[in-house]
Amino acid sequence: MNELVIKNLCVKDRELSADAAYKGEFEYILKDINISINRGDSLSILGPSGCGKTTLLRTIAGLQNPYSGEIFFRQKNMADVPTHKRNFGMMFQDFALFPHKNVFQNISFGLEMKKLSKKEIALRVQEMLELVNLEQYGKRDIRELSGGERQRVALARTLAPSPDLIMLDEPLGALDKQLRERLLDDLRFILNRSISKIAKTEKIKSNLNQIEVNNAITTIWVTHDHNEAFAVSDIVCVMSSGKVEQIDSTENLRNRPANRVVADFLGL
Amino acid sequence: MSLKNIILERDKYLIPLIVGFIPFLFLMLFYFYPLAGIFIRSFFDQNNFTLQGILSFNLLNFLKIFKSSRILSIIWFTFWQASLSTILTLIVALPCSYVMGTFEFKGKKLIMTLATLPFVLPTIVVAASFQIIPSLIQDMALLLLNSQVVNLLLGDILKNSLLDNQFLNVFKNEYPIVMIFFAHVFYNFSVVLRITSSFWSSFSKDMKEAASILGASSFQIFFKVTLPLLRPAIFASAMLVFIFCFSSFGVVLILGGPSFSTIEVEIYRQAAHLFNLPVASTLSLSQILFTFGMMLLYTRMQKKIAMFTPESEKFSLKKPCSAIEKLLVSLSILFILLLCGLPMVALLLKSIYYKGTLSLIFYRELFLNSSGSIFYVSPVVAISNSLIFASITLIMALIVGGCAAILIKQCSYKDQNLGININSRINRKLTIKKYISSLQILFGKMLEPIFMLPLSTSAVTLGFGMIITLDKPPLNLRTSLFLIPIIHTLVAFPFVVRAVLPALKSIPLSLKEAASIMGASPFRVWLHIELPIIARALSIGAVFAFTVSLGEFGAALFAARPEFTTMPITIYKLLGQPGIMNYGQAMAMSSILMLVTSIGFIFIESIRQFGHEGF
Amino acid sequence: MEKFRKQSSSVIKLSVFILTILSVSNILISNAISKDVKETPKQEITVMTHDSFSVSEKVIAIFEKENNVKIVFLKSGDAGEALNKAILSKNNPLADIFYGVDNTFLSRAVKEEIFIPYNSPMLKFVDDSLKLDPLNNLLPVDFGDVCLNYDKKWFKKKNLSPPTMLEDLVKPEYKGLLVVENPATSSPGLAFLLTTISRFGESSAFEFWRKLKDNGVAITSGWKEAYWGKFSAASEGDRPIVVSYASSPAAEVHFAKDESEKDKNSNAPTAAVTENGSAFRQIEFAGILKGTSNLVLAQKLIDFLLSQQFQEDIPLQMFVFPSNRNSTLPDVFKQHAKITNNPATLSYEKISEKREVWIEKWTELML
Repeated sequence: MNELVIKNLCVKDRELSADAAYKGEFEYILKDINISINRGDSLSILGPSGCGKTTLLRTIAGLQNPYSGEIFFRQKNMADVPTHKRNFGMMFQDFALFPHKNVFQNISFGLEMKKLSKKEIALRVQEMLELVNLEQYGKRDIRELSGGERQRVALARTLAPSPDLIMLDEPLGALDKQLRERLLDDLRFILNRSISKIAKTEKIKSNLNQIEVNNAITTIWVTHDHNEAFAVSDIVCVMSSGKVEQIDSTENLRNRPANRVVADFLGL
Repeated sequence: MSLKNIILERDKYLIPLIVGFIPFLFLMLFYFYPLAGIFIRSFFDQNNFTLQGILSFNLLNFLKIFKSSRILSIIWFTFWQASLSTILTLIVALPCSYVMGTFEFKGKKLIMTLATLPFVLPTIVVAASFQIIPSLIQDMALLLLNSQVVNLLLGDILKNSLLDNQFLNVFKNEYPIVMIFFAHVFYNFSVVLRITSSFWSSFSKDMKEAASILGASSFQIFFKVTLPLLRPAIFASAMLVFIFCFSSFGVVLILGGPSFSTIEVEIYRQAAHLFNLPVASTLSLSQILFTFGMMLLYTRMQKKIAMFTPESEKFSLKKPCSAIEKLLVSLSILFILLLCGLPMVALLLKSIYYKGTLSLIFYRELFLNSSGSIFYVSPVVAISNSLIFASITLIMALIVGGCAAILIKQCSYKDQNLGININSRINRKLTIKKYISSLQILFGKMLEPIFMLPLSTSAVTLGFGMIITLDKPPLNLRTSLFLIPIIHTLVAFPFVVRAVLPALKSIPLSLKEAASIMGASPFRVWLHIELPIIARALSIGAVFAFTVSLGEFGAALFAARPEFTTMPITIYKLLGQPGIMNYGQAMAMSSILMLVTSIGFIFIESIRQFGHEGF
Repeated sequence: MEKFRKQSSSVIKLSVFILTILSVSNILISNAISKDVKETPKQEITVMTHDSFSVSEKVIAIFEKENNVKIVFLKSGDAGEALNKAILSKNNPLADIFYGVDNTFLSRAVKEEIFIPYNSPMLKFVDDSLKLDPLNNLLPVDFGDVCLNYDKKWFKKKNLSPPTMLEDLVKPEYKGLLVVENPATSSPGLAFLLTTISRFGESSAFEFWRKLKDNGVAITSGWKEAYWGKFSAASEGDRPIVVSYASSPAAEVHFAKDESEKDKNSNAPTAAVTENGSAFRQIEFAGILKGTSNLVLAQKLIDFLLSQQFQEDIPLQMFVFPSNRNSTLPDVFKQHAKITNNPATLSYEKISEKREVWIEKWTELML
């Protein structure tokens, strides 16, 4: 079953809409994007910086309006669902941790928005802190944290409200190489564990989908590093200058790059 | 584009539109409407409101007014005294601000509060306290010199030279021009201190260390790294000081005496005493236009001030270690104590000094209505009136100023995006749409100066305007209780804008987006993310709004009900009649005013914990 | 749990602060209002006046009780400003009665036609010399003499005889002793300029001013700055002669000490120079503003302002003299305040005609 379907999506320079429409010429940031992912898929969006990866994520999240085209999530058109009602999760490139809140408060933010009881929140936050190995960090100030710690807090914050779709925008981009390699493994491990956890609780709560219990959460991972992309996902989407060059399984991509651009970017 | 998208798109602008409506409505009703009223009334005879009248008026009046050599010399004086006052304030305040921005020490908060206190003191009281200083210094010197040890060491020569010190005569108002500069420095010291020291403290140590590794001497570091980084803050504060001094009224009128006159004083003279409204209005109009130009310049400077994201806001404050550093800190504390503390101590002493002894007689007398006057207001009532007005002003200024800041931010955000795109298409045909959008940019750029205008508009012009325009229901506010906080808000909200805007701009977009994705509605994003981050800046704005309201002597502006008497008005009233009791009570009331203000300060400042300090 | 309370503590603190302020101000305001509302709603009559106006609570209560009315006062700046505000608001008047037009502003007030004439029966108790407006648009309510005041102690200490007339001021031994107010911004300042014109005639008066300038006269913007800033008897200033009121010495005595030790026989630290045409009589007028909603009551109030009850309250409230000749003066006035029989005078038509010219001329010469 298709979890997320993106049909003919175009996004253009948002501030110039009236002007551009008047002249009939547009500067596309995204042009005619078509993607569909199944529930539980892990998709990587791969491309050089400036190719529109982040814009694509933001459009899916509803932070940016598409110029044309549609986004369906679980068969529902997302056009009139505002960002805060989509129940997605996103980890920002700069982590976007709230500087005026401590670690605990950052992680609990999404849970409070869901109006969970204090007890539930405390439990869930503790669970998340354990998941990212920061059990003792609840009261720490954000500014006291190292880069790697921040990354893990950001991840915990993203996962805490059990989002239906998790998006990670260059989650390792801000870190140095050694740390990246170490954290990449951590991240995969945590994601897999949490996904199964979330799925289990979901299952208990609602009896919706019992078929794909162990692999229920869809993730989209944006990166410019093909090693990272191949390491974390089943499907990779290669983009350049606002267009999808190829979307395929990692295997197919490696063996049969669709064109020169893809091949070059994958370093083949 | 689907219809839904259009609605969504519009939704994005709807909230800013509503938010922007509040400050606009406020300014329109209580600023532009009264001003337009008085200008129209004074430029055109009510019967002669024809095109011909308009045309003939312009040339005639302007020529007549600007031909007068007296007016020209007044304009010239206004400019140069404002420039010199600004330079002097910078010279005095920058070294202190270096110390405040670099070192952390005990009692710093207290010193900063002390430096801001002059803001509330009525000019006449400041003038009085300046005059007390020489005798105070002489008394203290005498006390010192009469003690045996000093006497042995220094001898009579020094003693005598101290006693008739020419320097001290400056304070006796023999050199009014010196007094004007002194008072301007006294009043504006804190403006420069607060703006620049907060920027100084946000430079990271790394920057200076990097420069020194690259081989720069500490001298070079200062001129090549620190100063250029600080320049926007210096310019911004200098501009504010210049505008304050440019429209200086009380200081020039009272301390400068009649031989000195600024445009503002001349407007007052023409309007209140000669009832020459055309001249007064022409001068006000040119003053407003000039200020607008200055503000435009100021806004541009402000834009260049580096924005520090909250994450980079690790203040590089350190404790003074070496002997030189300790000396620097104690020197600047001493200086602030002398500049700001001494006049206030003088006031305080004067209020408890009666016939050679210390006594609380003036304070006791304040509580007695010895003349049985119907206009007697007990200090308790005056204090509570002042506090009520200040609190209402605080809230109104926070709302109006906060909304104005949000509006400005929204506009400048659009401005940046458009600007880039227009430049990249500079060769293409300019369409009407583009013309409209460039108008929009222009509007955005004008917003900040417009919101600063009330700071430097002649009070008497505005007061007269209010009398002729706000005279019919539902706007018959001329004698209303609410006119006082409204007028105070008009003067106070620009401070809130100045304080909140940099903090608002420093919030990265991703913070709000992250909150939104986690399920926070726009309102909750504002409540949980934006508001807490700007809370500290808001509290600084609140301090200034509170202070401005407490010190504002707005009674002369409009027809005031005597029941609404505030502390500064009481002080003026007491000084209206001869007799030592009146004088002493005025000093006592001034001391109470200082005390109440300090408590208010400390209370508001205790709320702030975190955030970005701007102006 | 605790963590949550801390979470948005700054927001909570801020909102608590705002709420406190709101509720406190709410209570205070409602208190203030309820004080007014408690009494049954009455008729109101509004008196617009300048900042220096004052009156005893008791006296006002008499009128309020007799007529079952509440008097509302509006203070609108100094005498010039207050009048200008009355003129500007003539389409929608702010008040029923205006108190405090003096003879230097009289012609402007009459010309603007903002007053209703009223021949009060009380006028028979007022000297004709005070009645400047034949149509009685404006009725004289009080007067005061602007004159030189000097610091008795100072002259005693220096063994110098105090001045007795204007001419003394240009003598070399009086160099640097006088402080005057700017006639453009101060009403005693203007009165003193008019004194010199009345005494010497227009052209010689400015000659006199030129000599004063050579003799080191100090000029301030207003009375407060002169008296509290320069006058040696009242401040740290070094000028023993100041332009003030003939009643100022009385005020000095009256406000010398606190109530308990007040001694009416004590000596005033200052004295006034009123003879030889060196005092200018400032007469203050009151009138009914056009557009009053209650003419009868307004007329009653004018009568009351001229009655002994009100007039006898004037001296110790405003330190000027009552216009009703039947009123008795307080002891401190009898002893320390002089009324001259020969004040300097100028017709108010002439004042209104030449006022601006003289001020301009003075400004050019002196500043």
